[in-house]
Amino acid sequence: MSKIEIIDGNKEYVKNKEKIKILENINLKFESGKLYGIVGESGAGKTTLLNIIGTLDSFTSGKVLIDGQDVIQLKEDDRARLRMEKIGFVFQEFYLNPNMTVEENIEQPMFINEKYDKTSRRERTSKLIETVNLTPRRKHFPKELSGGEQQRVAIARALANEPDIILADEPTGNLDKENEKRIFEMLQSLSKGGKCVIVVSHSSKIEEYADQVIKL
Amino acid sequence: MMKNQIKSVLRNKSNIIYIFTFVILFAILNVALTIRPLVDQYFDNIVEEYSNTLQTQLNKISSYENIKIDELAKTIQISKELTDEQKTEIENIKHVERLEIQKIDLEGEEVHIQYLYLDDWKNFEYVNNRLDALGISGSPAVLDEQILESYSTIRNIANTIQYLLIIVSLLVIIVCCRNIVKNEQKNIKLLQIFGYKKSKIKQILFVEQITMLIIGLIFGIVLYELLYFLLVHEMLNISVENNAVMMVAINAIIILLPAFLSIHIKTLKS
Repeated sequence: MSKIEIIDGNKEYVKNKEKIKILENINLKFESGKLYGIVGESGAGKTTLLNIIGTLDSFTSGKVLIDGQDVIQLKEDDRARLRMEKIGFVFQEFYLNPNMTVEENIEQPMFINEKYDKTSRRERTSKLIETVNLTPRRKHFPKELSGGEQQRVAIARALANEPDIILADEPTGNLDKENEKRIFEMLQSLSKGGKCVIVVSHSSKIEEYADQVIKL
Repeated sequence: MMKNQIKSVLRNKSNIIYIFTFVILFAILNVALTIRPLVDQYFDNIVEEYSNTLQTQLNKISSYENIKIDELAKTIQISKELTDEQKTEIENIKHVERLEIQKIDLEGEEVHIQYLYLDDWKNFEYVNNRLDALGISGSPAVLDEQILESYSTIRNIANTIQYLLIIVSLLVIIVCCRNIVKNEQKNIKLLQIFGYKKSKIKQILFVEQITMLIIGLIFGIVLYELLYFLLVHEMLNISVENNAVMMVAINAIIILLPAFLSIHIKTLKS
């Protein structure tokens, strides 16, 4: 069970010697078992915030505490370990390896996790493929799948190392209404299963599924 | 993990083009490594053939029976100082192309050595008999300078071509490897997101590069052997003894260096 806390988060870029503030005085708390929707206009810093929570970026000033630990102070290798153990990512563009099959894509994050040996990795992969209803497609390559199916593979991959936190950046941005509903339902069921799910979305549908909507 | 990564790299169609390029480059590289031994062997064969034929001719002349064959040439050396009249007579002998006089300073004493250049070494016997008739004794001079000169020139050209081809092959392979890694940028980012450490990602990239280069090397050697057999062995009828240790070492360097350099590009520094 993870708890995320953001304290006085500020993020600014310097472009052409001019400071551009992306995020200002952000104070937020995220808890396990809930689905959070982050909404806002383009350029409001939604994706930046998600990347900071996911330890892929950092605040100019401020703290991000995950289970009480300030992740910004961590060394790069420790942040990598934290991502592997606790965070799963889902992207708008899916970012599947086009030269790997469905099962190879899902298996990829598990190779660096010591808790899986070859057998348990295979078993977990099969279970995840089953969870996202893609068993007949396990040997298929991403280009042979529809957008909705690719996003389900990406969700299964995000769950590979059993993370407590799922970060989804516009997960339904490239999907039709039916697949959008399916993906939101899937994310909602993950939050009900005890995970902390944070979704950045432009879609007004997020309000129907989120326990809390944060406007930036 | 490596198995999946390598499968993924080999399934990537753009990498097939790079592997094909490696095949060609490794074939060229190994041809380049054979050029100098080939030139050496070619001239050894010429000299051997030349000496053997000259020996056959000289066997007809009893006085030269014991002369070492590698000291023979189409040049006759006359150590006795000639008069102007003798010089004119010698220059008028059929098959004599020119007469050259070399002055050597031996501890203060000037020694004149005359070289008679013939149009063909086959005419050695005829010219030597004419010299005998004039009361001038001659002996075969050392190996033909023209052969030595052309050998030296061609050897220098071969050396230059060899080094150029090695450098060009190495540079092209380095550029290809860097491009392969640049094309993997998306996957590198993904691995970073999954929590792979940089050292692990570098290790994966290194193994991927090495795999592609080794595939290129294997097919490149096959292509080289085919070219060698058809062009050198069959057409020129020369068998070259390569320095196997040097060839293995250079091929190994050309595999390891680009692979090592390619994993240290900017994409991994962020």
